[in-house]
Amino acid sequence: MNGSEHKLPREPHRPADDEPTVMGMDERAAWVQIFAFAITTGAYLAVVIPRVLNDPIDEVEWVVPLLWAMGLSIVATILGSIFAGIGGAIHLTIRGLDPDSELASDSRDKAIARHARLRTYWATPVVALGALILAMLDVDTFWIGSFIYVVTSIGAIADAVVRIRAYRRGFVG
Amino acid sequence: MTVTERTTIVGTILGLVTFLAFWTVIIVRAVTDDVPLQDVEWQGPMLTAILVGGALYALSYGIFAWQARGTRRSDERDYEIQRYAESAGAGVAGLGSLAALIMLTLDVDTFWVATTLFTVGYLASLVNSGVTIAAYRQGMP
Repeated sequence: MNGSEHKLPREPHRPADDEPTVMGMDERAAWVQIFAFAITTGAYLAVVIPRVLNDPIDEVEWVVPLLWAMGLSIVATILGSIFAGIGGAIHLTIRGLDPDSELASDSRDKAIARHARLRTYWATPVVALGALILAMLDVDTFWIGSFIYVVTSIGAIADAVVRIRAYRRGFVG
Repeated sequence: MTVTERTTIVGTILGLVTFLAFWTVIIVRAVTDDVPLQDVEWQGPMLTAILVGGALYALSYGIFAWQARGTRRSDERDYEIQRYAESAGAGVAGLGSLAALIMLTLDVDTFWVATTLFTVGYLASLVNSGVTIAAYRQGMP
């Protein structure tokens, strides 16, 4: 394709009108984040809800499932982003484009991350205040821990949804 | 000074007073009753601190809003600054929630979990107001 002698990072190519746009690395990571958090949190709830229904609440074993869910959501986000990046790079190479410059983050990615952060930070104070109220009511630690984990996860999913919305529809709302 | 800037400054002072009042009550109870800190009846003082602090903050906001009645109270800049500062404070509160979650999995006494959340929540509100005031004085990055 274009000459690759120069040292400076190459500009992403200018797509033609009918050409599909390239999904950058940050947008791929946002998709991965949605699925990683939805699946691990769903699995956590699927494990603990039957236990809550069947056992007395102070005997419910929730710590091990929670640690697994947290660990797996982190691992899944990292591995998923790597695989999404490799897949994208292979596809771009087949299309004859330079994967490095096409997938790289730019100032729009930064602006979108900020846009999403400013619209979804509410999850954090909700978690802190809710956990504080639950602790004051002296409910079982299962409820406090699960509340923190599930609402934080909802916040992460909301953040990724707002980012993808910004990528596809622009900075609205 | 806009209404937001005024309420931020008053809120910082109110936050400091309620935070210190809560700890004074807890420590005085622990010392006078000669019990360990986590056995003190802490729920009542904490609830009172949050409710009274919140009510005074709401009252001060109401007064400032009433003084500025008939004028435009906040514009796009106020809105941006508020959002920016709240997300900065939320970052600190997030650390507190993570710490609380770890403490819960380690089965620490609920008193310490609640105290961590309360203290970090207070620090987050300090970050929030500090960033707000700095943004009014020096602009946003």
